[in-house]
Amino acid sequence: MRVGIPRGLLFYRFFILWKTFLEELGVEVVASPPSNKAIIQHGLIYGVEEICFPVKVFLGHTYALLGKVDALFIPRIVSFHKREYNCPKILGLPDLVRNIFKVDNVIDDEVNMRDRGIRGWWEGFLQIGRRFTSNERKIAQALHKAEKAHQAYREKLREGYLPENLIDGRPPLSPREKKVVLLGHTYLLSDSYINMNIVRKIHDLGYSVITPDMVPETQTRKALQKLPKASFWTISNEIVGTAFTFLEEQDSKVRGFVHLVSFECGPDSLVGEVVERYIKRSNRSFPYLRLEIDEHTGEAGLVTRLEAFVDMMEWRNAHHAGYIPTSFAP
Amino acid sequence: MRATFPHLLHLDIALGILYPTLGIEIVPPPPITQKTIEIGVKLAPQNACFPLKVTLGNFIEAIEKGADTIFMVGGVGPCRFGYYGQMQRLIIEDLGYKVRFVLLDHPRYGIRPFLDALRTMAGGRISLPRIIKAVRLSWGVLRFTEELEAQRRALRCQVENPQNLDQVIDQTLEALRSVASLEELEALKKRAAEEIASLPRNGRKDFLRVGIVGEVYIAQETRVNFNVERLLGDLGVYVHNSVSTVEYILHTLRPITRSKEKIEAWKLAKPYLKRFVGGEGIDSVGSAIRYAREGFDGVVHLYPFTCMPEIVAKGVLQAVSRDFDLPILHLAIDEHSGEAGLVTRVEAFVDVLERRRWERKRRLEHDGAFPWR
Amino acid sequence: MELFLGVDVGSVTTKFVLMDKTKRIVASCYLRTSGDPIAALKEGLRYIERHMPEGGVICGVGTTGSARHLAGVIVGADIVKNEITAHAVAAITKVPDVRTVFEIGGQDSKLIIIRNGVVEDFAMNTVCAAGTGSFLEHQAVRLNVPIEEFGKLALQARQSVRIAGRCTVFAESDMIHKQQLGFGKAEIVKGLCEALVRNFINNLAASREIEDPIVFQGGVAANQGMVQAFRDFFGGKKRIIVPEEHGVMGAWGAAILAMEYAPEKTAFQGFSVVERNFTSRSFTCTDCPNACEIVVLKEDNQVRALWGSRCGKWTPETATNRLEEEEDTVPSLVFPTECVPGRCAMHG
Repeated sequence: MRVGIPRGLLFYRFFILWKTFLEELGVEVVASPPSNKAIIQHGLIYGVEEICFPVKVFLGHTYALLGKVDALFIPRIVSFHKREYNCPKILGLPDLVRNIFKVDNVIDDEVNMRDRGIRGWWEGFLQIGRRFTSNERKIAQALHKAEKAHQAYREKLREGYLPENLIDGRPPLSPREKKVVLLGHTYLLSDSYINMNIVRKIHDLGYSVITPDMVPETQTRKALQKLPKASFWTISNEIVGTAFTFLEEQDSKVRGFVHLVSFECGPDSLVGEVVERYIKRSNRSFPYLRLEIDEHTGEAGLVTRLEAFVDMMEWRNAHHAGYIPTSFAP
Repeated sequence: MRATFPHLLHLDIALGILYPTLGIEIVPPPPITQKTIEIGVKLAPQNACFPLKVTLGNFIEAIEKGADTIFMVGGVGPCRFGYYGQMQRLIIEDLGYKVRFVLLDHPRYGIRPFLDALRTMAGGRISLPRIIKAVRLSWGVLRFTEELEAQRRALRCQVENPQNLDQVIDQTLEALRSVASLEELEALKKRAAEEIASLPRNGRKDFLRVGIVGEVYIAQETRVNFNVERLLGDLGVYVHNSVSTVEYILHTLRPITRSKEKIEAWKLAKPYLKRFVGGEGIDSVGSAIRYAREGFDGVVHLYPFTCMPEIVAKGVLQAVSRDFDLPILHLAIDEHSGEAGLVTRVEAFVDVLERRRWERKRRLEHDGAFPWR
Repeated sequence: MELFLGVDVGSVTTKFVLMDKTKRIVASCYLRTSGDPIAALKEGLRYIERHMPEGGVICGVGTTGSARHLAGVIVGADIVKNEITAHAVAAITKVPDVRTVFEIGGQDSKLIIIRNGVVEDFAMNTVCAAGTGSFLEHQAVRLNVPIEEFGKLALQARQSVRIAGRCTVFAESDMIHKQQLGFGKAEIVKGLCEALVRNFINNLAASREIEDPIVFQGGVAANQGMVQAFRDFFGGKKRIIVPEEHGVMGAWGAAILAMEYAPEKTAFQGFSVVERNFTSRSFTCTDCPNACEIVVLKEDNQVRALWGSRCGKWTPETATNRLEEEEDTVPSLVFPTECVPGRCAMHG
């Protein structure tokens, strides 16, 4: 049996886990290819007009798998952290796919750690596993192995690798002395086609990035306690926690914050504002740039903003004295 | 303490009865106007959803009127509403206003803050029977305001002169503000029912029927949704609104206290939307299916622009519309919505419904069958 | 005399500034780009050549604006800067204690927050043209009011009408609706200015503190109606300065940056550039599903520069060959869904 996993949304977080788990159960796993123009265009055609860009991208990837696989793997990841949720669009994702493409062969079992913690996690995977085998022991072993692979993957991410280095084997970029904290959802930061290669662009301007994936969870959770009430979206909490970590740490290598958001992202419309307000309130007021992207974003505008932001960081850092403009490169 | 709270249609009438009895002085925000919206839009995050902006405008206007305490409720997600309070507190703090923000949140975010907030909202040392009495009365008042609005929607196309209907209902709503006991409320109910019954009818029976589904704030708050229900009523349409604050509160307290209709709606939604996606997403889908089964001619889906649960519902509703042959008009509302465009779309939608009905009748006479089923 | 040239090629207008060592403007011009930046560049260079003071030598060139890279190659720039930095530098030079810059140009608008002569924060319009000069210009045409008269007309209105709309299309339909309700031209024009101010503030200034003095620059600053609409918005409480150079601030900033950069020997190509034959071409690379659009700047038959390649495999030589190849084939509108083996540089 061939199972297709669309390359979008939670893919960059859980692909290794899902792949190992399914392969252990004797399932052939196919991921859709990295984003490209054709995929995005299909996403735009099939997406509901107001839905956010990442969901449209996901739909494009789903389309790319239609007819090539026996089933689509779109588990309903309601929550992967106790007492928290994913965004409603991720909750309704299997229903959207079924109703938009009129397909039925969707593996959409619910994984929900919100109320029952690790039991909800296990039961979700048990349900998925039962589709392929009735041997519960085998499912448990597969999940155990998958979790180990997942942990190794997360460990690599914390060391500074990007998902594209680990999943697609692209060579990593050389580290730079000065750093920028690049906030945002993994599905934006890891898809270099839709984010217009932002990591590379920042690298070319002389900075390395720190993404939320590179900060240990214990640290982000601790930093998050600064808020009277954290939000109920796990990934958004990680973003806020990452920002707060570097606000407090006073790491002299960190020069500024860039927040990449998709234009119609609901959670980010609020937590982005929280981050911005706390950055402004902090003693060392860091430069902060919010970049909104969607299908209409032009690359030229993004480059202009990034360049101006880098100028601003250097300028502010040097207080005009040793201000050296970036070199001319056509 | 001079407390304020956000507007939600006639919530201020019910709270205006509840709080003085509990010994809390209240400063209701001025009615929602263009100015309220402009204040909210200016201060709130640009891409936040519209209800956050309007309620923020409410708070600021109330503070300027002298309020020093804000009552707000929280939530557990995943809809953004649960985070409104936190966001608004942050904005109001940064503006430098010295106000107390009392946020009643789910006990899971701390039982102490929950009890503290509840105690503040319930007033000082007042006996429990008195609290229960006040809650019962204001609950009855809230229910009655919704009944009145339901009557207004249903009867607008059936009375000779809609202005008279508005007059009766608005006067009753005004009189409700000074109700002091359940007996008075009953008397008022009776009087209103008589007055409404005595309004001359136009005798029409063949009116179109349209149901409203959507997000709890936008679908109800006629001051921000350009009063779509009145617009439909003036076009001779019988309107029913599936959204209600009473239902919302019941659901929040405990899902099992919901009405039969809502439980049925959730069941009907299952084949399309398997689980709760936050907010009223699943209610919108289920209620639309209920309307289709009850033979309504169309459904208007009202929600704030970028609303997450309702966008999921919108994607699913397209399949519902296809399967049940039910026309659905999706209206996303925010500060950029222009009235002219909205009116045009609603009028065109009613034209479509009329034409469909006419076509159906013609075919029925012709073939003697129901071709649409 | 040492002179510095600043060039700002925007999507709607092209601006040139010739500046001396004291940052004083010697000559400047403001032209329409009219969709042909190369022609506009040549025209501007001719103008500057005619207005070169006796004994003047160009010692540095800076380019900015959306076509800054193209202008940089053609004119020969020592520094190529984004327009936000360029505008900020010019505003600080003009008004040293400036705290906020509003820049509204043809296709985009910017808000720059400055504290102690250093850029603290900035924002650029993300939504669409509803907050820019093109919008006003388009509506002026529709209302049959010359754009120069637009501001004056707005000042005559005693009241205004509220025009709603997230984007130009909706704003336009709302405007037509208001027109049909019988409002006069002056009121509508005032309403449009106020809508633009509202859009500008809501889109860019959200949660940012606007402190004065405010420098209002860009082509739209010439419009008195807009200046008044901003004053009204702040209730007359904030000091708004419109510099006389408001139209060419970006180019001026580029010239200042070129001076600060102080090249030993300028890359300036000389005024003879106007005689040379530049053309822009583009093709879609179909070697992988990214389907990049490669824009090529050619001088006669030689490729001088190219942009738009994600993988970076295109060089002037390969692009020249590709362009020749393309002469004979009809370009395909269907994008590839898989990599072409051996030709894709990104996916191996």
